[in-house]
Amino acid sequence: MNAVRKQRLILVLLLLAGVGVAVALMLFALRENINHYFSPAQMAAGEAPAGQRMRGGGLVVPGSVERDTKSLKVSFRITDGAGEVTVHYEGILPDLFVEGSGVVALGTLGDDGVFAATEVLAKHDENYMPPEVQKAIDEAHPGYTRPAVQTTAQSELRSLQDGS
Amino acid sequence: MYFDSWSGFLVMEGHGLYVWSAYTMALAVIAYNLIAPFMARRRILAQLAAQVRRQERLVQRKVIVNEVTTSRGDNNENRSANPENTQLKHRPGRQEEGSESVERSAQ
Amino acid sequence: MNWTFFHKLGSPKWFYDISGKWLPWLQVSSLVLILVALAWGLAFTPPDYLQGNSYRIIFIHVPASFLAQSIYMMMATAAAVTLIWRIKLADMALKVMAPVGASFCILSLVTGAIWGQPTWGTWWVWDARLTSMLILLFLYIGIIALRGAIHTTEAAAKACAILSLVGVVNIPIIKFSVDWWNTLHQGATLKLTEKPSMAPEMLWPLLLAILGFYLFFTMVMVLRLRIEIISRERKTRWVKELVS
Repeated sequence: MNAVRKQRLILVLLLLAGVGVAVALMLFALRENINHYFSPAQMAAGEAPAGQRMRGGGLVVPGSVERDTKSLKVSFRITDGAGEVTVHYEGILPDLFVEGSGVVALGTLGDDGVFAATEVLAKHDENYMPPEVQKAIDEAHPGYTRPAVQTTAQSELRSLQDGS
Repeated sequence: MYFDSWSGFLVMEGHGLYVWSAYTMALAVIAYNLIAPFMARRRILAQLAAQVRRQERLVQRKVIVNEVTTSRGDNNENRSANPENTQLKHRPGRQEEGSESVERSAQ
Repeated sequence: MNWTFFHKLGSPKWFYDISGKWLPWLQVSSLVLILVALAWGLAFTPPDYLQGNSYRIIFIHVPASFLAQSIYMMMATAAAVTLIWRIKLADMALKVMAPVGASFCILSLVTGAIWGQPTWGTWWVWDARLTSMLILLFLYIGIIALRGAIHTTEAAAKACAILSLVGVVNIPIIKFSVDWWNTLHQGATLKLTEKPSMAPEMLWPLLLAILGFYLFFTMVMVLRLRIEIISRERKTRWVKELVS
């Protein structure tokens, strides 16, 4: 490689490094306020501002889901292991909304500590397997909650703790 | 085959619309990527053919001009010795430029 | 180090001659692979225990997303070669890859939206993975538009190369977005260092589909590059001999 090309190579590398550093700084600055994300524990402790639109996420507490028989109104509690918050929602829930699995809700926290969601999204994990395999795992470990959901729960909790 | 029937395959337990529209979209993208190069190829080849034809016409005209000047017989030698004077002779000049760029590209 | 092989590789005529021999193999193998993989994924794999049949979109979504990112990486490499060595073929490659990459980026975004509706409950969220992928599409469109806006080949080559290089920072952001932020999008299923978190009867068609899509991209790129070579080298003797 001759001197001119070497010089150009250095220029290209400098350009890349410069842009990389600029973007990294920008992302670092954005990281704090990009998502307005609050965990159930923060909501329960009153750390989240009431009346402001925010995202909240956690695992649906098993047995807490109450569906209105006449309308699409539904109420459930979400937890991150450290605190719980009640969510009210009216609308169609996604297919993957299951007790014990992770959800992300968008809405506002009322003064009464109830999270009024306008949108409920279900989170799923990166595991894919046929139903028979799932059944076999269930049979091999009776009384054991679905492992995939449990890994969802664990990774969800981890990501909640990281994110908060 | 996982599905029992054709209708079961199409409906996919309620997810048929989602799955089939995604696969249709994939088919569209694959088709675009196959068709676009062939269209471009046709266009470029037509352009190049037109260019070659134009050049051949120019060469023929030049031959005629040369014949006319030869029959007139006025300072014929001077012309052939100094071909760049003829306006119509700029084509071969381009050809030289072309072969030069072959060498440059191979460097 | 001896760089002559590198420059020989950059000779348009050499590439044109050798790629003509690869083309039929690439065409047959890529189309057969895609056909087998997608038929396998659509009809012969079991459904997912949680998502049911909607997960079959993975056999398109994942290969398309991989390609959209890999093509951009290749474009950035071609951009560096263009800027440093001024090899014409690298700029041609940069030019012809952009529309192909954009088409797979669109495929990835659209199939993702179609998949998101039944599973997450929404077509779109402004989550880090989805947003960074959208930025990738804008980068592709920007590079194509920039090329169209500048009429001198040399200047266009330089401008597009710089834009491609600058945009490459988006690639690690896409890759790690699911780890760095709280995204609705789940983590990676296929990992280089760990065992994939997918049952083997679903994994095989997916890997086959990925291989098929990559071969298809190679084939399309060779096709487009050959046309671009003829178009740009139209004044050379070998192209004139070729078309007449």
